[in-house]
Amino acid sequence: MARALSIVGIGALLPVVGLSFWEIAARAQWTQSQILVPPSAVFATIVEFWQSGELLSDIVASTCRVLIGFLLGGSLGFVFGITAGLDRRVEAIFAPTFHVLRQIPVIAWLPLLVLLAGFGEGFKILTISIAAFFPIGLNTLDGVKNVSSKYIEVGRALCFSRRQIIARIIWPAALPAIMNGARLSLSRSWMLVVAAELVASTTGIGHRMDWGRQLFQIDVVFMGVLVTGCMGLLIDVAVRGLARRASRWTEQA
Amino acid sequence: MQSKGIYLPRGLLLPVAILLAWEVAAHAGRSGGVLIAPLEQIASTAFTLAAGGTMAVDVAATIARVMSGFVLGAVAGLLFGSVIGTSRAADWLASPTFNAVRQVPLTGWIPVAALLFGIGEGAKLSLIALAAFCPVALNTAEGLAGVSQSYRELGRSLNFSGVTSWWRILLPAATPQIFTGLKHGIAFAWIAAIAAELLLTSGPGLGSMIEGGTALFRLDIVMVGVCLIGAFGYAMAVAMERVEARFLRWRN
Amino acid sequence: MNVRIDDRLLKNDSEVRRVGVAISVDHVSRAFDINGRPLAVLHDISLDITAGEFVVIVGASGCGKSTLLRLIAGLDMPNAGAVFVGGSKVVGPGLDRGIVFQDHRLLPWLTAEENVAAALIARGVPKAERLDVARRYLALVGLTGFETAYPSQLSGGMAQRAAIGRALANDPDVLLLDEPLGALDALTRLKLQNEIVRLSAKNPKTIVLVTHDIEEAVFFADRIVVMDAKPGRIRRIIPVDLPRPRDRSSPGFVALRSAVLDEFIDETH
Ligand SMILES: Nc1ncnc2c1ncn2[C@@H]1O[C@H](COP(=O)(O)OP(=O)(O)O)[C@@H](O)[C@H]1O
Ligand SMILES: [Mg+2]
Repeated sequence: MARALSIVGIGALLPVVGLSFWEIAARAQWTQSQILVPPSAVFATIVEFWQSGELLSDIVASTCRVLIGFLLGGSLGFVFGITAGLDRRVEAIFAPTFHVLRQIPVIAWLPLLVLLAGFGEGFKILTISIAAFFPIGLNTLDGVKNVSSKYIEVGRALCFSRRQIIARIIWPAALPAIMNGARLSLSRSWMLVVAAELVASTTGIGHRMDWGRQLFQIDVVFMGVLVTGCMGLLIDVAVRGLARRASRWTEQA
Repeated sequence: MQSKGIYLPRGLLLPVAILLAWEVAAHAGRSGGVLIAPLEQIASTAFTLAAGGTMAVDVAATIARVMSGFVLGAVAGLLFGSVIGTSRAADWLASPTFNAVRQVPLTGWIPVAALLFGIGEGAKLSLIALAAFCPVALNTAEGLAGVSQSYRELGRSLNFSGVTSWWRILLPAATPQIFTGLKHGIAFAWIAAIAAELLLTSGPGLGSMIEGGTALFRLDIVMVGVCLIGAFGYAMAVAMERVEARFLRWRN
Repeated sequence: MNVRIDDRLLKNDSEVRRVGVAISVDHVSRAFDINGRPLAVLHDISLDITAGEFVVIVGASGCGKSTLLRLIAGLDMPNAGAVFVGGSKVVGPGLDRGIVFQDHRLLPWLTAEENVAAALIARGVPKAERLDVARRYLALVGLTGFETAYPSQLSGGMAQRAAIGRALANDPDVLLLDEPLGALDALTRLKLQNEIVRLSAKNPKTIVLVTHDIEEAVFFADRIVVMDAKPGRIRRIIPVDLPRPRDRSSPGFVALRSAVLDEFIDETH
């Protein structure tokens, strides 16, 4: 316990020293830049935006977009991965196009999506759906296809029906890969919601940062950095927890 | 299919269908208030851009940017990852901060870079370097820290010095994972370059090209840009795999 | 037309009427496509195994032992000839045959008891009952106390025991074992050899076991089938008439072991 605490203490050393230095530098005006406000000002800004409720509504707006987009694009990617992974004909038809399209960074679609879908909510949801679609699609496809034929043969030897082989062998064997895909999808979604809100939005944490940038309020921008980082971490921890439960068997050794 | 006298692989069915639908939609009229450019127009725009030399300028600008940003970020990532992967004290000291920084999505740094460095080359390079830095540092550290105990013991039993052991055993053993980091690094660097060019428009580049096309409502330019982005991103990934294959020949 | 149909019926009838034959391998050949060229792995193999017999197949690595076992299991189909089990032609895997692979192939996401219980899924046995049966078979193979362990938590020997339990769980007529002890250390192997003898005495089954351990073959077999490679054929069948339980140091055992060994050394020339 004491050891764990001391490790945490060491880890906190760097940020504490860094932030203190930054605070002193900003207050003593070592830099000419008016932009580099001290950490205490960033903290005050966070408190202010929190108390006014604006921060919460930004977070809620962005999170809703991520969740809706992730559910739409993620489930589509999941369905694609499963069907193409199980059926060679489906794979032959869809996979080549899928592999070509996934080479294009989702962010490159932003202008096109703006042109085609306008600046509204649809554009953002569409962007996030595309971002969520590819990682989970790819990982599900690979996960299902790469299930060792040895295990499938066990199912055959035990006279499993095709359904039973899918449900009791392919599914559990592919689940870790699928969860990993979901994790990547969520983190891509989070990256793209910020991008989409930077480009075109009147709500959300990305919009808040863009607003701060245009008004040269770096404290607001740093608030955005902190919030997006925390949300990213939160999502990652949650999905990792789920993934670990789904694949306990891979860890014991 | 063969009865028609043409062999059409099934993988081409979908692209052909998409292109046909695109062509039909383009000739049928308007969608979302913007004219969809027919394929022939996209092709002729691509040809014009290529012939006029602007395409080469944009491609070269983006690639140069990615390369310099990637080299900066990857070298820093290799050094940083080596230190925290080798020294436990450094790991305890720096990893929490590194992991916190890593959580911020790439796009979240764009406004910060814009405010600190303006919209010029500095902001873009720092974003690309940061994008490459994180996966390279992470994988280098994990690769080095994860070298199995038996390899370390081999070094000791051969009486290797610390440096020899690091160079002859730890580094080679961690190389596969370091390459995983480099591959992720180049992919993220490419994404960061496009994102930076798109959101911090200044000077030539593929991101600026599609941004400019959007401003002019020229879907043909945007499509040419998107295709180039996909193609060159893929080419970079393939090039990195080639390098990896050369370095990791011992892995059969 | 009529004649041909009659002909086939007659043949099938004759197969069914062979009393006491549990497994009949009938002029079986199997070739695999290697880079577009057929590679003959088994060539015209015929072998009858009586019910309750313990047959051990030995032969050089790559001579087609596993392929033969897989054909009996129904996991693979011959290019020519047919395999009959219990009088009917093998067209696929069946619960009348239990198979143990060289690598235990326990499903890593299931516990030991769930792995054994999986053998009863195809029969539609309810889950609680499946687990009951599974625990019984785990006890039979000496794994009491490890019911809820995952395969990665079991030693090689324990995992192989669980795999044997899974193969036994349907109480099949035929047990097929493909080098089941090949990956184990010498002591564990000796122990499991005794276990297999104990199990087969307790609950007699027709057993086909593949090994390349001559002593193991002499220890188990009623008949030893020695195979030749390229293409795989049966070189010789050696009956083992030693009394059971077998004593590895008895003169008869030692003499037979060196005789089989000689057979092997001849083969490599
Ligand atoms: N599915 C397969 N495809 C192609 N070749 C195979 C296949 N299964 C087995 N073989 C080949 O058949 C030969 C015999 O294999 P196997 O029956 O496993 O030998 P054994 O079990 O006696 O060592 C080997 O040369 C092997 O490469
Ligand atoms: Mg074999």
